[in-house]
Amino acid sequence: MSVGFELWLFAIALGTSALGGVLGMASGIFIVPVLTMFGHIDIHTAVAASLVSVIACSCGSAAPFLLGRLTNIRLAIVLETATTAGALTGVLLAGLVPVRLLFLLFAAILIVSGLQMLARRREATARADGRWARWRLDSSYPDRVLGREVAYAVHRVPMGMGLMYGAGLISALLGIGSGVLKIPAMDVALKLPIKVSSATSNFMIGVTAAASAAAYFLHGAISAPIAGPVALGSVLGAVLGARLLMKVPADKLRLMFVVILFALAVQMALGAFGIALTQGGTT
Amino acid sequence: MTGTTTERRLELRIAHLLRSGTYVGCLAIGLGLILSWFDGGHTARLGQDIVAAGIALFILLPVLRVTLMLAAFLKQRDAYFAMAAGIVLAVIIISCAVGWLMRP
Repeated sequence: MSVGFELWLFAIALGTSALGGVLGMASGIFIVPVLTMFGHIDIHTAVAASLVSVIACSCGSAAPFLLGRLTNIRLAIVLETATTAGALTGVLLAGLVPVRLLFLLFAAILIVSGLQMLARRREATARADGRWARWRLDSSYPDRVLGREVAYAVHRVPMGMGLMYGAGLISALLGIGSGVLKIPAMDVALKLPIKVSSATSNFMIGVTAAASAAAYFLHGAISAPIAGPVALGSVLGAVLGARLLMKVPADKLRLMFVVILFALAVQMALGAFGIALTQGGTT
Repeated sequence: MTGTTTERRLELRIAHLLRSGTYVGCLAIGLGLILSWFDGGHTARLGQDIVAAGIALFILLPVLRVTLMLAAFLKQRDAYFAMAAGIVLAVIIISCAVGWLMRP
């Protein structure tokens, strides 16, 4: 692996992660398409490398959410039983799913993510129904805007667990944080306040990705010269993105983000049939 | 309310663990990469090993976090959540075994 290629990996990870950070979303979804389509890296190697950066970003950004009491760690550990079980299933399936299908699945996830970005998330109206009260998952968080403690209750836990299982499976197969599935699980099924759902989802992503990344690591599927620069770039990019958060008009950026997601989806779909549009990258 | 303060203490410990772990992991990967760019066997190989160690640390961090939670819930005699943490750890261990057994 050449120094130039490692620097290219680092720069790509830094850039996409900063872009994602500005919009307050994880950029793990860009890494696999970029590595496979532009870097001409095998998809399994790209997925494994991406998982490491997904973990690194989750760990790197967890502290402020925890200190701000936005993360519901009890809910997280319960949902993680489902996400890690999904990840284990993904590890078992990884070798069996044809590469072509992985590309198509990725294209589909990119499109759904793009559509999700266009439709703004709406704050769920939480009204305790008491059904899950004895599980002690309900909590409260300090809302800075309202300037008071906001109590919330958790709804439809089984449905949330089901979606989380799917999120873990997709995460292990495609090397992403699976926000695509976690957001509907948190917003629609569990009906959490957006801030709590973002913080808790980010917290869970690390363990979910670690469940599959540990298997890939022991399997020897993680290439250090690829995963290293990507992880480092992603963490630094996320820090940079959070700093820029206030200074960039979010709406234009959001639209640009969606356009990139759709363009990558087209490329991944074409890639599934062995059609490469790009000659870029250095191998 | 001892319940909330012990919970708060756990949250702070997790935040500290993840934050310092991220620093160490990033430093290891950055240092290792630079060393790996030196031409010739020894330094380059050491660099690659340090990068791999940094990656391993990142994978281990969330697992350590779950272990920390398991210990805290056991100490609080909180059976529900200790069980959840135990299941998560068990699944990760099974996943590790799968990865190890299926290695080429």
